[in-house]
This record gives sequence, C-alpha cells and structure tokens, in this order.
Amino acid sequence: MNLWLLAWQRFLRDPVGVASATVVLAFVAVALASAFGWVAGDWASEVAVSYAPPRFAKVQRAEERAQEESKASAQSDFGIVDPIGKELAEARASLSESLKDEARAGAVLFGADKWGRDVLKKAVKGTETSLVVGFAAAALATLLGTLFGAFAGYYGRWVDDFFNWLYSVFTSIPYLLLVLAVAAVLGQKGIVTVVLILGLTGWTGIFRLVRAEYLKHRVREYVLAADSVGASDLRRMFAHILPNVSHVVLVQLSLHVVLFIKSEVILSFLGFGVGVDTVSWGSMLAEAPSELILGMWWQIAAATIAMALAVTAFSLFTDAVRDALDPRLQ
Amino acid sequence: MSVLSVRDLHVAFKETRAVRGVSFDVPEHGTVALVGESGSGKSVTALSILGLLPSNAKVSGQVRFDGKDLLQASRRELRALRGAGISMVFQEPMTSLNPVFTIGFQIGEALREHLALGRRQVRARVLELLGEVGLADPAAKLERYPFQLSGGEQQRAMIAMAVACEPKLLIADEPTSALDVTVQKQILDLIAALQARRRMAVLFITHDLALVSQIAERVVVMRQGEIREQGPVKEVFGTPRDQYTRMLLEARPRIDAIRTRRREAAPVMLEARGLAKSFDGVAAVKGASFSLARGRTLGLVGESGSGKTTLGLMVTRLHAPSAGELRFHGEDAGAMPRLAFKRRVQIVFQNPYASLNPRFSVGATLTEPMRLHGIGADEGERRALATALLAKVGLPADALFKYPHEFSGGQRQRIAIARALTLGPELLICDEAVSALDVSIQAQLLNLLRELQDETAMSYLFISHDLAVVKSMADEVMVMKDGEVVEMASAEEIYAEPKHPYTRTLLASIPR
Repeated sequence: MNLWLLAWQRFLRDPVGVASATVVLAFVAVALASAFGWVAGDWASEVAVSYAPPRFAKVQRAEERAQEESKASAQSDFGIVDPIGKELAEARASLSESLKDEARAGAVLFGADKWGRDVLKKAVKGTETSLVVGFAAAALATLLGTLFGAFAGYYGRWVDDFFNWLYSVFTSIPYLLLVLAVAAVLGQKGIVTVVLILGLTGWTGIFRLVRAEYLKHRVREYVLAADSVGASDLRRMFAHILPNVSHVVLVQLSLHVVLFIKSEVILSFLGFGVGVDTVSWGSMLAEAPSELILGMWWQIAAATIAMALAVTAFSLFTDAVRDALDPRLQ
Repeated sequence: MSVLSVRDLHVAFKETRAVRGVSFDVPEHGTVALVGESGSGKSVTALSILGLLPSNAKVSGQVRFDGKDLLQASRRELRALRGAGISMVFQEPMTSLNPVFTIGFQIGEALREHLALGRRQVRARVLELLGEVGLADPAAKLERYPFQLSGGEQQRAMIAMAVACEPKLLIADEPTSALDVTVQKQILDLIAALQARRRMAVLFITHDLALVSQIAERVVVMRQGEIREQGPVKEVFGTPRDQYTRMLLEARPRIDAIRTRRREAAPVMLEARGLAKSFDGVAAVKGASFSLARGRTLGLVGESGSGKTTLGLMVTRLHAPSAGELRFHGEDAGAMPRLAFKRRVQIVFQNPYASLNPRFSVGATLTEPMRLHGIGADEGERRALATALLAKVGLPADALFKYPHEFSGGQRQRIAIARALTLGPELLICDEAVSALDVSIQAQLLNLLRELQDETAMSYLFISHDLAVVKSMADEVMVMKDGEVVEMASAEEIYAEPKHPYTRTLLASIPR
C-alpha cells in the first residue's frame, strides 16, 4: 500500500487531528465564500450607527449612562448651581433619546465599528485576507526554500556555498527590520505586497531543513541505484528524493501558514500590511486601542477569537500531520 | 546446577507474539548459544531476562537467576542485579557506548554504582580491566572517547564494562556481527578467555551457526518465537532432528564446498589498470589492476575500509577514478556515453532496505530504467516486461503494485536484482548483495544469481567480506587490504594455498 495512504489512515485515527482539520476546513470554506463574494461582500457598507453594541450584550444604554452621570454630578456639586446644568440635561435627554432609537434600529448581531460597519462581516473578510496571505506566502516561501535547499544539498560545493551565503545574509538581519525594509522598498500596500514580503523573507528556515535532508538522501543507496540505471540529476532530485523528504516540506508548509497568518496580523497592526481599502484581523486590532478606552470591546474580541481559533486549529492540525507523516512510524 | 533457567517464557507486543513458550537453562560456567534468524525472538528473549523490554511488552513465565524469579523482581532489585549479577554486551559497540563520556568514565560507572569504590581504586580497577580485555596502552585509552577507538577496541571496552563487577552470567547479543572477521576471532577468543578465568556463564546470541560450534557447549535453535531444537552442540549439529535446523545447517555457505565451473576460454570483457581513487587526499583505492572474462565471476574480498566498495563504484562509473584506466570490451569506459555504459553495467547494493525508493511502487521501480533507456514501446509493454522479470527472480505478478515496505529483506533484494536486469546488463556488480540477509535467504539468492549467470552469461564482480560466500560464487578471487590488492588467484588456489600473510590470517579467522 502507498505510504501516503498509510499516513492518511494514521491521520484519520487521530481525533485531535480530525477535529482540528474540521475547524481548518471551516475557516477555508468561510474564506472561499468571502472571496467569491457570497458572504461579507458588503462589509464596507454602513449598516448601523457608529459603535453600535452587539445585540446580545448588556451594554449600558446612553440614556441610563446620562442619568447616572447627572446623579454623580449632583452629589459632588456641593449645592453650587450649575449655570448651564438645566440646558445640558435637556440636550442630553433629547440626544440619548435619538441615540437609543438609532441604536436599536441599526443594531447588528456582533456590533459595529466607528463607521457603523458590521464587525462580524469584517471578521469574515479578515479571515479571507489572513488565509490568502497565509497560504500564498507559505507556498512561496516553501517553494523557494525547497528549491534552494534541494540545489544546495544535492550539488554541494559552490552551489551550496552560494545558497548558504544567501541564507546567512537573510538571517543576519533582524526579521522585523528585514520585513519593514522590504515593505518600504515595495512601497505599494496590498495583499500581494504582504505575500511577497513574507514569502521572500520567510524561506530560510525551510531551506535549512530541506538542504539537510538532501545532504542526507543524496548518498542513500536508492539514489545511487537511480544513478546507476541512468536517471539524470534533476530526476534524482525531484522524482526520487523529493517524495522522500516531502513530509518535511509539508509540515513546514503547514507551520508557515500559521506563522504568516500571525505575521500578517503584526504587519497590518503596525500599518505595513494591507491598505485601508481592505480589512484584516491586524487592521481590526489596530483600531482597537482607542475603542477599548471607551469600553467598546467587540471589535478586538471578534478579531482575537477568529485569530486564536484559526491559529490553534492550524497548529494542532500541523502536529497531527507531522505525526501521521513521521517516517519512523512507517 | 544452572545459573539461569527460563521456563515457558511468553512475550507479546500488541498483537505480535514475539516469544512463545521458551524454556532453556544456562549451566554454571557453561556457554549456551541462542541461534535464530531475524524475527526469531532471540534478542527479545535476552532483553526480557534483564527486564529491558519496552513497557508495551507483555511478559509471562519464569526466569530464575540464582533462585530468584526475575520477572517478579522489583525495579530496584533488577537494577542491583544488572551489571553485578548479569551483564550484557550488545551488537553495535559504537551506539551502545555513550559518545560524550570517556571510556574510563563509562567503565568506572558500573564500579561506582555497585561496589562503592573510591576514585583511585576505580581508576586502578579500570586500568586492570582494560589490560585484561587486551587493549594496548590502557592508560592512554582511559581518556579516549568512543569515536577515537576502532570497532574492535570499542567492543573490548564494552566487554570490560560488562565484566567489571564480575557477573555470574554474561549475555552477549550478536557481539561480533558488526565486526570484521579477523576482529571477530579476537573478540571470541577474549570472551572465551574471560569466561575461563572468571568462571562465568555465557548466553551467546547469534545468527551465525559457524560461530556456535566454535564457542558453545549447548545450542538452542529458535524460529518465530519458538524453540525448534536444543541440546549439546555436537548432537544438534551432528544429527539434527528438526527440519528447520537441518535446513539452516545446509544453507550456510561452506568454505570447503567446491563449485563446478565452466572451463572454456572466454573473451575478456572488463580490464582495469591502476584504478585509483582518493577522497580529499586520502587514498581509498591505490591502483587496482584486474580483468574479468565474459560469463565469469570475480570475487572481491576485504574487510571494512579496504576500498572494495569504492572499487565497485568506480567500475559502475558511480565514482570517477582519480587515476588509472578502465576498459570495457577494449573501449575506454570513461569515454563511453553515460546511458550506453549504464545499460551494460549494473549494480546490486548491500542493503535492500535502503536501495529501493520507498515512495516508488515495485512497478515504478522496474519500469523507470526501461523508460529512461527507451526499452519497450509503451507503458503496457514495459509492465509486461517487468512482470516477466519478477517471475524470473521468483516473485508473483501482483508484486508490481506493492511498495517496498510490504516485502521482506530477501524479497526486496530480488526486486533490486530485477531492477538491475531490466537493462539486460553484461556485467553485474554485487556489492555485499547477500550480506544483510539470513543464511537461508542468502542461499536462495546465491542460487538465483548462479541460475541467472548460467542463463545469460553475465559476468559478476562479487564483492563481499564473507570468504565462504565468495568461494561459492567466484572463479577468481581478489583480496584487498587498505586500498591495495594484496593477492589475486583462482578460487581453488587462494583457498588451498594462500600466499599473502593477510589472506592466511583472513582464512584462519573464519569460523567453521
């Protein structure tokens, strides 16, 4: 029986793996639906009042808050008459009345942001951004890392020296500094830029592992045997060795998806990520500090829960994949 | 009076029953050999005596040592016993020694653990032990790390460690299988000498029947977890009652066997002159010259590090020679087109677990060379050819769709041979092609190789460390030592009257 099939059977026997895979698939489904515009296509439209609270949450209504405030001020005025107190109270009352109506009319299930956009839809759109960036950047980094690693490890000598030099250059610069530098060079903001930034800087870890595997495998007897029947260098590298190191590549791919989802959040939080015309978990988090002061927690909660769930599920999934593919079990 | 008695021992791992009802005794001061092929349960039996089995093993039965049942003993009792009462020597000295501690420290550990000696006393005792196991310059060896010693020296250090606390029983699990034949003889002599001096009992585990008759008084033959036959060595070997024992005895290649050979003159196919190879200035092969005729077999014998594998790889053009000349049918082999040369010269490697790509089905493994060389018009025809080759090496047609891990070692080696045959080579290099296999399987494969040679008039370059196997295959034999060919003669000659002193040592070391 095929080794892939055996690995698949092992994976199916792992309940944590199956559960995490289900969650991961759900996220992928949400991201796809969002990408095709089936859901959250109208995330940017104003559907509620600014900072409308989630419908289920017991957020103090503005009117009650005003009452409490007036009570507090009444206690502390030591009998001195506020010259504009009366007018203020009236204005407040009429304002809160209108606010209350509006808030009720436009309430959205998970609340709204500053511009009255649905937080749930933003989180869904953010899922699309994060997964697209995560998968595309991980694919690019894995492709580069695997190719470089294969050539360096297989050919050795000056090819190895060259790629090692490149590796050292990339790893000698602090990661965030490198990312920011590439972001500055690429200039234009957007998903493609973020993918390029992460992909072009993130291949080093994969390169190191794949190179080590190729160093080990190129002297194995099955590769010598392939040589002795006349298989060319490229055939030996990619038809013979690659399937035997692919478990390493796959696990790295999966790990880097998680890593890059997190990196994208950090980049967008710092303002180097996606532009204002799109949304990501990172840009949602970036809006959060000023909201939190005012007690509006729903945006940060949505972004954090979505991200924590995605990252945890993906990490568990990666572990399960690694266990299933472990060649020592074969 | 027996020092160890095993009664109705059963060991199971999940569904596999590795040992099924094994009973035997080791008499005081006696040597018992536990013999079997891979998977016979002999090592599992040994490990269960010392309670060294992994925790998922289910053990039942009785193992009495000095009147105490070891299977019922607590971990503390077992710990006190290991090293002091019973100790063990393993197969691979390199991996059973800890690479980050000196030899002296590791040998001293058992002494500190069991005898509560002071530092000076431990050092003096370790020096004494190293001298006793025959290590030259023990004071210097004390400070060495395992990698600074040769395989034989490492095994001597292991033995010193095992006998440090004067155990009553020494369990030796394939202690010489990883060593060269000349070193093997030294280690066996050492164990015998230690046994006589210290009056300890030895349980010797091995797959090599020839060793048994040399060292043991009693033999226990195991197969698939069961004892097939046991008794005094002379009886069992002289008049084996069990069919399996008989088969084992017949299968082992014998140094005194004579092969009937073709005598007619044949044209020379391969000629090497001063073939040499060095890696980073270290000479692996220092100028080898030989010739090989069509349909003949040239045996190449040598110990590890003699350069025989390098020479084989040069002949296949997997290594480019640093100097010298290789002529194939009078043509310069180095100048021949790569694919054309590979089509005529093929190789079978030693380790059938490593030489087949685990991700390729057998069908893919066999059709790949044909596709590369344009043999067969389409995939269907190549598959048909592959099926025919499988039949030739004695494998069923449905093997085509299976993967290497579904086959045993012997079957895998048949697949490797079939792969070499896909191109219809004129010369086949067998680099230790049967060394990793059990004797019964070894005999079958040697027969297969002989039949193929009779059928196709292929020439073989047969590389092996095992002189008996080479004798049973080769017309001419070449002996290598330290990268040099020290002797070359016809098979009969080299075994009857070896000229070079090294050849004589080699022949004298063979257990018979």
